[in-house]
Amino acid sequence: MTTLAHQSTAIDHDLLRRGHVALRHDGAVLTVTLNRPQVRNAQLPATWEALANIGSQVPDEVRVVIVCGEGSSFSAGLDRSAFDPSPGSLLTRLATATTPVADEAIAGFQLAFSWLSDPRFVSIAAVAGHAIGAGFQLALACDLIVVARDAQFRMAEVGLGLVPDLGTSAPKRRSGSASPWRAFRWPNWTPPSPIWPPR
Amino acid sequence: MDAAVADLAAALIENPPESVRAITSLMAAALVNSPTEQLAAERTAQIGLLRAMMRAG
Repeated sequence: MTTLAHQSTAIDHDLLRRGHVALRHDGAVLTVTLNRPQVRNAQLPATWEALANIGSQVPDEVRVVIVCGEGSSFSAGLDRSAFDPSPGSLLTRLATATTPVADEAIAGFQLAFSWLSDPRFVSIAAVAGHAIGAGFQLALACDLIVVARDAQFRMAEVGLGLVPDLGTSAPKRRSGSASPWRAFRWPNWTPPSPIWPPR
Repeated sequence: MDAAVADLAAALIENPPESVRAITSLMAAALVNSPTEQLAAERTAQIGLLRAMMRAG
C-alpha cells in the first residue's frame, strides 16, 4: 500500500503532472485546476498526492485559492479503476490491508482536502458540470462554492455502500464546530444555484 | 411538500442501509467531535464498509 508523503519541501511538478493537476500562482491568487478533461477530471490517488503537495506549499502571500476543473465538468469523482475487483485496485487494497495501513492511507487522502480550510486564505470551488463523489467532496472542502447553472452534485459513495471519507462530515476548522455546511452534506442533495457561503 | 418528502424517502431507501446508518452516525458525531476525531471516524467507518463490501463480493 502506497501512502502519501505527509511532508514535502517544494512543489513537485512531476507529481502534479502524474496527478493531472495544473497550478497557477498569480500574486494573492492560487488557482488549482484538475486537468483530466477526457474523463471529466476523475481523480486518482496521484491527484490527491498532488493536491496535498500543493497544500503543504501555499505561499504566504496567497489570500485566495480557486479550485476548478478543466473542460465541461468539475470532477466526476474517483477514477473507475479504483472500483475494479482486481487485487491491485485502490478499493481492494484498502479493504484487504490491515487496519493501521488502511487508516494511514485514507488519512493521507484526507490531506488532499483538509488544507483547503486553512484560515490563511479563502478557498473557492468553481463548479461547472459534474461534481460527483470525490468531486463533490472536493467542492465541499472549500470555504465557498460558486455554481454554474449546469452543475450537478451527487454523493455517489453512499449508493455504493460507502461513506464520504475525505473530510466531508468534519466540522470546519475555522468555525471549530459543526458548520452550516452540514446541511449541504447529505447524500444526493442537490443545492440551489448559486450557493452562498455560510455566515 | 409531500412529493419532495416522498422523493427524499425513496432516495434514502435506494441506498444500502449500512452506508446510510454509517453516514447518519457520522453526521451525529460531527456535532461533538473535533475535526481530527471526525476524520478518524470517517476512516473507521469506511474501512468497515469496504471490508463488508469485499466480503459480499
